[in-house]
Amino acid sequence: MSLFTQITQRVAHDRVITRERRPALTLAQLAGTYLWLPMLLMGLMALGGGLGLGIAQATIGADLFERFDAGDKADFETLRILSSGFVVLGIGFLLAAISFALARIAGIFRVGGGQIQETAGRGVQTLAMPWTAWGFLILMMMGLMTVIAGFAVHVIAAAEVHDAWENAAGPDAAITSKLGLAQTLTTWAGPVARLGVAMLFTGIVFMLATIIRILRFQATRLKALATEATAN
Amino acid sequence: MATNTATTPYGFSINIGRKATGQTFIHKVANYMWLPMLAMGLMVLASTQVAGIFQADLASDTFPGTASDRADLETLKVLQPGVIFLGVAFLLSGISFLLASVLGAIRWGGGEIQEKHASEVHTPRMPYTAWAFLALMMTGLTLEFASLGFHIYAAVQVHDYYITAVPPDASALHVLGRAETVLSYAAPLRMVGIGFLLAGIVSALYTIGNVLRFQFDRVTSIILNRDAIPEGSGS
Repeated sequence: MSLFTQITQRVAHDRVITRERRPALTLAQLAGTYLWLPMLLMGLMALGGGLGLGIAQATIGADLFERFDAGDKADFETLRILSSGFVVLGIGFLLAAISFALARIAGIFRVGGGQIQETAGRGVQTLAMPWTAWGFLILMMMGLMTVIAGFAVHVIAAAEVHDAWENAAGPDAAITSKLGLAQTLTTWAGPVARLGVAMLFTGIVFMLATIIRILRFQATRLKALATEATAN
Repeated sequence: MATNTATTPYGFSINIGRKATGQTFIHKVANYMWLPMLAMGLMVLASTQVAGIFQADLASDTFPGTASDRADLETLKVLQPGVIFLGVAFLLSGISFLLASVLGAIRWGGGEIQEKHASEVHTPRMPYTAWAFLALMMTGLTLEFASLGFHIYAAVQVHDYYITAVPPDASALHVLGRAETVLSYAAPLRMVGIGFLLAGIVSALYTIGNVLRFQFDRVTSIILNRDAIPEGSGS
């Protein structure tokens, strides 16, 4: 059999495991059960932080356009970069919370489906972890790490832009090298963080595809149980 | 017909009766609302795409150009993100309504099965997570409208600044400052709105998980011919 045929068969067909007792949660599902809430809280806190920084920035900005002050300008630009870093980090955490909540649902299907089969007195069949579930895990972890890396770059850029403006003599007198570095870093950090968000979204799609596979498998299994029961 | 109430280990209490109760008002609203929300989101995003093309066309004539062209260009630049985020908020609201619709379908299906195969129908009462989901979704959408209001106000200020002359009159710089100040509020606010909508989706998914746990345990009880309230599968 050609390698291509083997791969397509592996992708298209679900591998089923038969056992006597109901299965326990997998590690990813267990993580999902416990981690969705901390992720949600961290996401809301990061967004709250971003909003707070935005309000501080607005307060400084109101004076800055009336009369130039190097310290105010440094704070204004620093807060602008930090605020956008915090909100992207918050969105990343919230998407991770959605991912974990979906993993929890997949776990509930696994344990609940096994429980019903066990109660019905038949062999307990469960799906082996499909490739979409592996894809979800990889994308979610990479996405979260990318978003956090993007946030770290925002923090570095914020420090650079503060150094560039804090001793400026006028509105056009920032230290050019530091300002340039800050702008280069923010130019990178924005798309990198958005790439992380895109990975998290793609991971969510993979988990939804996994849940559809589980539902299809459970519907088929339920029909088989009903047919067996009628035959007996 | 008498209906009793009992507590469960799933984070909600249940009504116990003889008949399936069907979907609640909120589920029925969700069944009808997901499509208009989706359509509005797509329309808003499509309109920003058209505005973006118009803006690009304007930009190619503006340097150098009249003060009016520059003012229009800068106004569109400020408005664009507020409108885009409102479109995204509509799409996320569409997803939220679909999840509420899924909850309604689970409730209806579970009730029907119990009515046919069990002597009692156990129906979940609306849990606090479902209320939180509703509150988060509505707050998120309201914040997006508020953020759009800020963007419109800032856009008016920006227009007033750039319409003065080419280059803009330095004495009107405080008008631009006012716009920058308002935008400093609006930029994180629109993300917080999206955050609330996402948090609402998390809350809906948690509720779906709990209802599924309840239903798996309930089906197990029916197979075992027991009407006792399940103790929970522990997942």
